[in-house]
Amino acid sequence: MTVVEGWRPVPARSDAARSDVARDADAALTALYQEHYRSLVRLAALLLDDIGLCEEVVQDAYIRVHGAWGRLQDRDKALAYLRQTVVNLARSTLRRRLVALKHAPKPMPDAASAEEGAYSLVERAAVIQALRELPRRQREAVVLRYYADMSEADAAAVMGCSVGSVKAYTSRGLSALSGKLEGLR
Amino acid sequence: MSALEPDELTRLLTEAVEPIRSTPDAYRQIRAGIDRRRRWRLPLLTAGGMVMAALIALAVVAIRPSPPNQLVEPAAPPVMPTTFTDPTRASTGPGSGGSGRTSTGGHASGPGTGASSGTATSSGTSSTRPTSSAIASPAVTASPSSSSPPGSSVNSPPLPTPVAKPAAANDIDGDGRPDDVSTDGNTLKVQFTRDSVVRRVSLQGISLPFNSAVVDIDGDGFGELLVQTDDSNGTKSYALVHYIGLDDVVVVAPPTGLTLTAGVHGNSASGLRCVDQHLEISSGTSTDGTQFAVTTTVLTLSRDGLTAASGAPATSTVRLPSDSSPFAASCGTLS
Repeated sequence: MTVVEGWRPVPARSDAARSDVARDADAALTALYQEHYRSLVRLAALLLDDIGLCEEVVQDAYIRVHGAWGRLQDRDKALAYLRQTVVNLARSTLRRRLVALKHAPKPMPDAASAEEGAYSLVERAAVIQALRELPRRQREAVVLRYYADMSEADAAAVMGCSVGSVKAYTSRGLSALSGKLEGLR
Repeated sequence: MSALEPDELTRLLTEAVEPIRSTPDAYRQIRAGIDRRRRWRLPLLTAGGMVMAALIALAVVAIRPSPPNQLVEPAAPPVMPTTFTDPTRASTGPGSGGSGRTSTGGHASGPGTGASSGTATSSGTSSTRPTSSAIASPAVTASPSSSSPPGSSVNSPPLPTPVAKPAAANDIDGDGRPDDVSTDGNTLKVQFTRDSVVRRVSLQGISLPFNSAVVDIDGDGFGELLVQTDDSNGTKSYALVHYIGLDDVVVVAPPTGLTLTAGVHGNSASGLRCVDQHLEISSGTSTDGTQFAVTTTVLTLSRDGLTAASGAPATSTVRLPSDSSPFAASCGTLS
């Protein structure tokens, strides 16, 4: 499980201090929503394959960060916390879906997938298709490095692995994508 | 195959997700989620707090040590009324054949109630018992402890089975091993080897150096403890401690008019002697300090205390110092 750096337990606050924190969290939430919500949904879209799920994950991340606002050590890094939460929730969602798929009854041969409509927006992009075929860690590394424009250290912190691992995942992901997208360029 | 440039990959990824638009009511959904979370927060925190408090209370109750001095007295066997009357007992003393337990052990009982039980009972406790009360007649001189009415032995724990009759040397609890007797001020401490229980008995005084003897006066397999309590004017006073039940001893006083003393003081003298499973108390008076008229009373020891045997006390005359003096404590190693 990824541990977010900068989180710390805080002492109990008075009611007045608590309401100040709540007001601060509301204002920060609005600002973060206006500035970053769409980009976070797009980040989630690169990690997941269902637009509906992507929005759920991002909204859940906003709710969690708002609830933990009083415990944030460095509030300037709220966006980083949001990104990390999105990545963690996307991972959990994928894990849950994997378990659900293992136990789901097989669909009828002619029946269309329920997710087909939701995918339609992004399915056209071959790069998305190629990205989906990558292993999860490689996909995360590529997305965080080349879409979210994060440094290797930041990506390592979000993924919960070492910088060297991020380098390796990124390199392998890039090579795999190169082969898959050869015809696109 | 040419490698994919990072910039190119960034462009491809950006273009791929460019068409994605967020739903217009996303902000409202986030607010609704926050409100929902806030609504549940207080009840959940309250419930969690209560659960924690309950767990802590349970843990405290579970790990709290029990009071160290709490003792559970063994239940006394039920009193079974009997219609059986021993004709020999009936003829030797008043009140014989009264209520009492069936005597199965070798404990010699007096003319009163037969209360001895041969059932062995062990106790796992190793704690120290408080001061015991005495079984005594009123107006006694040698009983320093508070008195209790006759018959209180009914509530005493049953006697264990002695390993030998009479008891071995210094064996009070009848397990064949010598028990340890010590003093603490005016408190007598008896440590029973049977279960390592220390019993404390308060006396009015204890002479120093400590002088005591364990004698199985009644031959029931449990030694009686004679302790010198005073030594003044040539007369020594003694207290008789009787083992009446598991880890239970009492101070026994002689009947009214008799004392557990030994020595000559002017024209009066007294003495005690353990003989034939009885205790003999001699008291003498003189007019010249040498020739004493001696009255000897035979006492029988039972759970009810010391009781005088039937018949008139024996009388004799002793001339001191030529005759053998009956005015000494001749019980065991007592001197």
